Amino acid sequence: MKIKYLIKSLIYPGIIAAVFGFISISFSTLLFSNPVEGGTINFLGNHIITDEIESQGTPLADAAGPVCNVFGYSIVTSLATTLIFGFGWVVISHFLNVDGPGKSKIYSIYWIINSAVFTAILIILCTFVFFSGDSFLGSQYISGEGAFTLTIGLSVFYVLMYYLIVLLGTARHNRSSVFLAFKLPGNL
Amino acid sequence: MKNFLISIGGTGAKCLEGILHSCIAGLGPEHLWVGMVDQDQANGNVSKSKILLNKYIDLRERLRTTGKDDVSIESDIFKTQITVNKNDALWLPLKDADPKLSEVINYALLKPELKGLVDCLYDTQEREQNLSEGFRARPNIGAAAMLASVNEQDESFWQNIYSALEKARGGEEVRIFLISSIFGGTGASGFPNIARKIKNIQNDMNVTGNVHIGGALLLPYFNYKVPDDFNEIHASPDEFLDQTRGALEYYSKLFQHQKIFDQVYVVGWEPLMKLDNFKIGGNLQNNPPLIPELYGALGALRFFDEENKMLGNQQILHIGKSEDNEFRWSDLPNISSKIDAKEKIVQLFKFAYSYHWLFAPSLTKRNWKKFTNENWFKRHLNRSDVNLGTEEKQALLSDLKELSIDVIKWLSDLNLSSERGSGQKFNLTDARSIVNYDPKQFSDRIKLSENLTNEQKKQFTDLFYDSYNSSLRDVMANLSYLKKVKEQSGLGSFVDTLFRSCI
Repeated sequence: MKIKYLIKSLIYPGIIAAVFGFISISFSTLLFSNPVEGGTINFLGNHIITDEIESQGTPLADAAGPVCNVFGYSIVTSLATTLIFGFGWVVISHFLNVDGPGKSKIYSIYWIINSAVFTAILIILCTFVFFSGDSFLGSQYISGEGAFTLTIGLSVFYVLMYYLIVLLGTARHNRSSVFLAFKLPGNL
Repeated sequence: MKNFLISIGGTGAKCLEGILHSCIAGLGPEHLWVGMVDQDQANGNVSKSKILLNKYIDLRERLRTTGKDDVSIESDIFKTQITVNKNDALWLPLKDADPKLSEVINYALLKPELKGLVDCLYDTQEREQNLSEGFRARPNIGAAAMLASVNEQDESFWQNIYSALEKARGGEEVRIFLISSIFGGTGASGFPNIARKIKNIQNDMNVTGNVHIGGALLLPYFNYKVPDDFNEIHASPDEFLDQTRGALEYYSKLFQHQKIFDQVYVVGWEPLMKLDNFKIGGNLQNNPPLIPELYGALGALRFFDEENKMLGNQQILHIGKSEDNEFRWSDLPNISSKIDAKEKIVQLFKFAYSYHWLFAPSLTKRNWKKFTNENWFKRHLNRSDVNLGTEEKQALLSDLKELSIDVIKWLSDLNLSSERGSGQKFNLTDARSIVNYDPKQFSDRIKLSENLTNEQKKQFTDLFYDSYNSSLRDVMANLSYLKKVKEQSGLGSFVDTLFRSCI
């Protein structure tokens, strides 16, 4: 395996990671700064935080802080998981023994397993964070519907990020193992 | 620079086989004219090299056609443009069917005193021997036949030499290299006579500079057992050493009195390699390729290399291998400081291996569509000027497969037969892991399996001793990542990149 090929195949995934990473870090930074008003707070108040806080007499501003923290941590954790699994696959794809025409397809099972494990971890992670009120203070204030929305939203976002990384970063000679990667131009 | 190679006799033809394989690998000069000299045109060694020569010329032309299938001028594969005599690459000193020495010298018409002289030099059996299967290791017969025929200047074979010397007169450098054994019939008689004939033509044409003549002489390097009850005139290995001593004394005197050669490469081998196959000539004489022939071939290519400067004196060059009982890649001489012979030969073998076992089965008319989504296919074959469904492209792919088989068999046979014959350890390639070798099957010693097992594919990494070995995964990766050459067209992109991928 030539290191220069691996470095070459890290360029596009690097761009994807930078874009998604920037969005993630910016958003999580915003969340960790405990905003008291603005679009994020409105969104959390309208869709994520349970209506029960009003009956408990807890002001939205008090509940929003812990929810922002939980949300921010889940973003950072999801980002790290995505980077590990995405770039992990990119590196592994260069080491898989594609020793002839047609061999790459055999490794699609590896990719499917990698992707399934990644998605499962992502969902389990979000579920654990958002649905487990005992472990995280902020999750006590998140409604069932809100937890579901965050889990799906984060999963879609990071699965998309993961897919773009593996799509553009898988070793060229191993592209047949990744769903639709064969559609890419030969020299990309 | 114009380069001319004349292979003389069976050993010359075997060396030519090595030269042609080396030229496929990119070790040859830009241009090379090749002529073969042998009286035994049906000889298995000669016909094998002649077939390979024709294959080379044909495939090179088809892989270097601008706008069609072109590997581009930058590519090393089939780099050398080889041309041959327009009628036939092979020159037969005696043209008639079943020629005899008595007919060549018009024995019946000679005066009695001349007949007496001829009787002193040749016995009746030698005079009446049918020479259609060569000179049977009798240089005295060959010399007479050669001298009687090299004066036929109208022959197109010699016309090529004349036109070369004309070019030298015009200022272009011309290098002519002769290659043969010192101990046979055709080679031993042809080598000095043809060289002297060329020198004479040069003198007659008053071409004083720009012409350099080189040669490779192979001392005895093999022997074989002749059946006790065999009575016909034949090449007897017991006489090789005596013949060689006589020939060396002759050359010693020749070199003292006349400067014919600029460089002479003398190749020998100790101990002599034992061959299983004894045949007096004809198509059944199909000797295995042996390592001294590759030395001769590399000597020829070194002579043609531009880095090789002619010093004006007569150079006798020799090279030795390490003294232990083992032969390694490092024992193989290089052609120049820029060209690593070992690297290129290994590259050619890997190319042949990859093409024969991996890509040829995937690119058949029935299978190629299954691979159109793979990156190597998209990069190199998914082009407007490539349609693998056409007979033309399939024919080219099929001929490439045939060439790959030739290459695999040649290098495997070279290693295994040299090892078997010499009793020395030949550590070039672990050929036994991919081919079946049966030295008793003279016409087909090496058999290739249809498919490779996964275990065999894994052994690709260890196929070459004493060498950096890439894996098949590296070949696939290179094919997907190596930079393409803009000027390439048709199948040229795939063929050249696969060759470059096999480093």
